[in-house]
Amino acid sequence: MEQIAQLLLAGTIFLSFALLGTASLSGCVRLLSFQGYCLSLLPIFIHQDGFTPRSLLLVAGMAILKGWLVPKVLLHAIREVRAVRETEPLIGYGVSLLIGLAIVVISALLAQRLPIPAGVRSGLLVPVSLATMMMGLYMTVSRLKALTQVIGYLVFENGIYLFGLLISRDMPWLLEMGVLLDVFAAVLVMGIVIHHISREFDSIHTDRLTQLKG
Amino acid sequence: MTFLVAAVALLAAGAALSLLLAGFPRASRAASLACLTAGCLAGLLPALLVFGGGELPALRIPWAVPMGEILLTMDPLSAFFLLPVFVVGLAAGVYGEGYLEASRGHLSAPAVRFFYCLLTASMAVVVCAGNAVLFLAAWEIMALAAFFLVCSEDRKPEVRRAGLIYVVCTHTAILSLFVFFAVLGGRAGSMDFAAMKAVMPGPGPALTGLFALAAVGFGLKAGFMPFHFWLPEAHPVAPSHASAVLSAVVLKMGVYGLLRFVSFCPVVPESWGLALLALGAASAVLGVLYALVQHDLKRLLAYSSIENVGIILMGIGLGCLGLSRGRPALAAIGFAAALLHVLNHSLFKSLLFLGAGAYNQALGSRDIEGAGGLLRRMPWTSLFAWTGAAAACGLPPLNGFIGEWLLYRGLLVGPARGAAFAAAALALVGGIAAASFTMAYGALTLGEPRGPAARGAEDPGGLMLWPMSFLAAACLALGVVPGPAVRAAARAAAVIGGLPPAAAAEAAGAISSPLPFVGALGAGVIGLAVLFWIVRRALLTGRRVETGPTWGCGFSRPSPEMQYTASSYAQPLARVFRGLLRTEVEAAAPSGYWPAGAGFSTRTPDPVLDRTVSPALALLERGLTVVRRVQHGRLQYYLLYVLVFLVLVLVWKL
Repeated sequence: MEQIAQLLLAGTIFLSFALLGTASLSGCVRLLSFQGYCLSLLPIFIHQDGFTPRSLLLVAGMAILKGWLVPKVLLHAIREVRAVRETEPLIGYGVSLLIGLAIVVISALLAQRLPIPAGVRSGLLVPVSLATMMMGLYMTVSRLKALTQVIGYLVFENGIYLFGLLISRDMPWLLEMGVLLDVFAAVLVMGIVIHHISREFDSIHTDRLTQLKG
Repeated sequence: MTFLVAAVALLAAGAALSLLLAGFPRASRAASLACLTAGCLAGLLPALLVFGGGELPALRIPWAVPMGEILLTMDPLSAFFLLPVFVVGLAAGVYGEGYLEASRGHLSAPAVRFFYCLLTASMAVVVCAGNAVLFLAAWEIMALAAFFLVCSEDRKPEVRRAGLIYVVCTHTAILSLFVFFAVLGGRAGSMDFAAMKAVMPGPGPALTGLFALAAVGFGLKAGFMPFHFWLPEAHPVAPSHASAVLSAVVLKMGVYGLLRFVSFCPVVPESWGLALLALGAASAVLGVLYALVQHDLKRLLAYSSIENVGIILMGIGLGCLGLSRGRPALAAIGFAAALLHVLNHSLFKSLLFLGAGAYNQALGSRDIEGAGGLLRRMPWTSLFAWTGAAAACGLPPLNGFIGEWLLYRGLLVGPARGAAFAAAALALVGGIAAASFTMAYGALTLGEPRGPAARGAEDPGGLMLWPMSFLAAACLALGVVPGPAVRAAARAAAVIGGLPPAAAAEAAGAISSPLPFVGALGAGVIGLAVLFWIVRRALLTGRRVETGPTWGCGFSRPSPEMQYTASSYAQPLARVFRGLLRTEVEAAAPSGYWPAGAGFSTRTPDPVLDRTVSPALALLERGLTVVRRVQHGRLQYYLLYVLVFLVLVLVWKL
C-alpha cells in the first residue's frame, strides 16, 4: 500500500514537471487529467484506514471532476479559440525545468520543518504538495496564454488538495465538497473569461490585458 | 419609545416608498412627504414627554450582529438632540419638496428624498442608541446618506471633489470611533453604553488616549478647527435643504458624541476643559473671519457653522472646567449654554441655508457679488433670511442671543481661571459675525441688482416659504420666551455632568432665574422697533415721500457697478486680519486717463485643506511614484509577487 502511495505521489510530481516542459496546449490538458486521476486515487492509499465509504465517495467525485470534467471543459475552450501551442513563454522550457527542480529542493527543505500527522503513510506528501503548489503558481507566472494560466491555477489547486489530504480525515465532508465546487466554478468562470478575452483582443495572450490599465 | 420606533419606521417607509414609486412622481412625492411629516411629529412626542418629566423605559430588541443589540434609551440629553433632528428635519424636508420641484430635473428627486429620509431616521437612532454597535451602524448610515446627498449633482467635477473630501473625512472619523469603542468594549466585555461607562479608566494615559480618539472621531463630524475643512467644500454643493440638515443637525451629532463621551468620564482633567475652550475660541474666531472673505453664499454659511460649533465647543470646555474644578453650577451653565446653542444654531442656520437656497435658485448662482436689490423682489425670503442673520449675529430678541448670553454669563460671572480669553474671543466673534452677515445680507438684498438674474428674481412658492416662516417664528419664540428651552437644556446638562438631582435643580434655578429679564429685554427690543415705526408713520403723514438714489455721490449717471460690493465692505476688517487670512489678490489696476481693462479678484484658501492637507498629500503622492512603477498592469508579474511573498512567508514562518 505504501509503495502505491509513494508511486502516485512521484507520478504527481513527474506530471508537474512534464507540464512545465510541454508546449502543446492539448498535451497540457491531458497531463492535467492524468494528474487529476493520480490525486483522486491517493486518499485510499495514503491513510492507514483508507478504505472507508467516505473516502471512496471522495475518490469517485475527484476522479470525475479533476480527471474528466475539468479537462473536457478546457479542451472545449481550446477548440473554441483554436489555440494549439504556447508559442512564446516568458521563460524557456529548459530553464523552466531547472526552476522546477529548484522548487522541489526548496519544498523538501521546507517540508522538513513541518510535522506529519499520525496515520499518514508517506513522508513525501508534504514536499510534493508544496512543490505542486509552487509549480502551479510558477506556471501562471511564466506563461502568457490565458489557458495555460488556468492550467497553472488548477495545478496550484491540486497542491492545495494534496495538503488538505494531510488532514482529510478531520476535514468535514462539506468542506471537501466546497473545495470541489470552488475549483469547478473557477474553471467555468475562467473558460468564459478566456472566451471573452479571445473575442475582444483576437488573442488569449494575457499581456494584451495591460491595455485595460487605466 | 413606541413613538420613536414608529418615527424611525415611518421615515424608513418614506425612504422606501420614494424609490418604489419613482415611476409615479406625484405619488412618490406625496407618500414620502406624508411619511416624513408623520415620522417627525411622532418622533417629537417622546422628546417632549421626557422634558415634561416623564421617564421612558429602554427598548431592547435582540439583534443577530455579534455583541450588538437594538437598545434604544432616552435620557434628557438624547431627547434634547431629538429636537433639532425632527424639527429641522421636518422643516427642511417640506422645503426640499418645493426645492426639488423648482430645480426642474437638475436633481434626481426620488434619490434625494430617499437619502434625506434615511439621514433623518439614522440621526434619530444615533442619539438614542444605547449600544455601541447600533450607534456605529446608525452613524455609518448617517454618514453615507449625507455623502449621497452631497453628491446629488455628481455630474459636476467640483461636486465629486467635495464628495471625495467628505467621504475621506467621515471615514477617518468612523475609523477613530471604531478604535474608541473597540477599546472600551474590550475593557467592558460588552458594547452597552452603561457597561462602558462603568469601566472608564481613571486619569492617566489611557483616558487621554480615549479623549484623543473621541476628539478626532467626533470632531471630524462636528467640524471644529482643525477638523473643519470638509464643511466649506461639502455644504455648498449639496441641495440647499440637505445643506441645511448637514449644517444644522449632522454637525451636532459630533457634538452629541463628544457630550456623551464626557458623560462617561468619572473625572475630567482640567487640561481638557482648557484645551476645548482654546480650540473652540480658535475655530470661532477663524471660522467667522473666513466667513467674512467668502463670495459664495453657502460657503460663507459653512464657515459660519464652524464659528458656531466653536462657540458650542467653548460651552463644552467651560462645562468640563466646572466638572474638573468641582463646581457643579459652572458645569451646568457651560453645558447648558452649549446645548442651547446647539438648538439655536440648528434653527437659525437651517433657516439661513433655506433662504440661501431660495436666493440661489432665483439667481442661478451662489455668488453674492452678482446679486443686489432682492429685498424688494423677494420680500418674504428676505424677511426670513433677515431673522436668521440677526439670530446668527446673536442679537436680541432672537434665539441666538440666549445661548451666547448664557455662555457670557458662565465665562464672566462664574470666575473661571484661565477662561477670560474665551470671553474676549466671544466678543470678537460677535462683532465680526455681525460684519459678515451685514456684508452678505447687504450685498444680496440692498442696492440695485448687479445682473439680469437678480433683476428678474421672485419669491419662491409656498412650499418653500412656509418652512422658512416656521423656522423664523421658532427663532423669535425662543428669543422672547426662552424659559422652556433653557430648562430643557439645564436638565440635559445635568445628565452630562452626572449631577445629583438636588444640585441639578439648584443649578437649573440659577441658570433660569434671570430669564424673565432676558425675555423682557427681547420684548422691549420689539416694542422699541414698533414704536419707531409708529413715530415714522406719524412724522410722514401729510408729507410727500420721494425716492432717490441712496448714495448719489455726485455721479450724474450712477450705474449698478458703482455700488459698494461685498468685498469692499469687508475689506477694512479683512485688512486688519490679513496676517491670519492670507488672501490672494489678483488685481489689474486701471491706468492712464482712459483706462481700458481692469480687474480685481480675491481668493482665500482654507488654512487646513489648501495650505496643509493638499500639499501634504501632493508630497506623499510624489514620494509614492517609486511604488507606482510596480503597478504596470502585467498579470504575470502580479502573480510573481504573490509567489515570492508566499515562499518568503513559508520560509520565515516554518
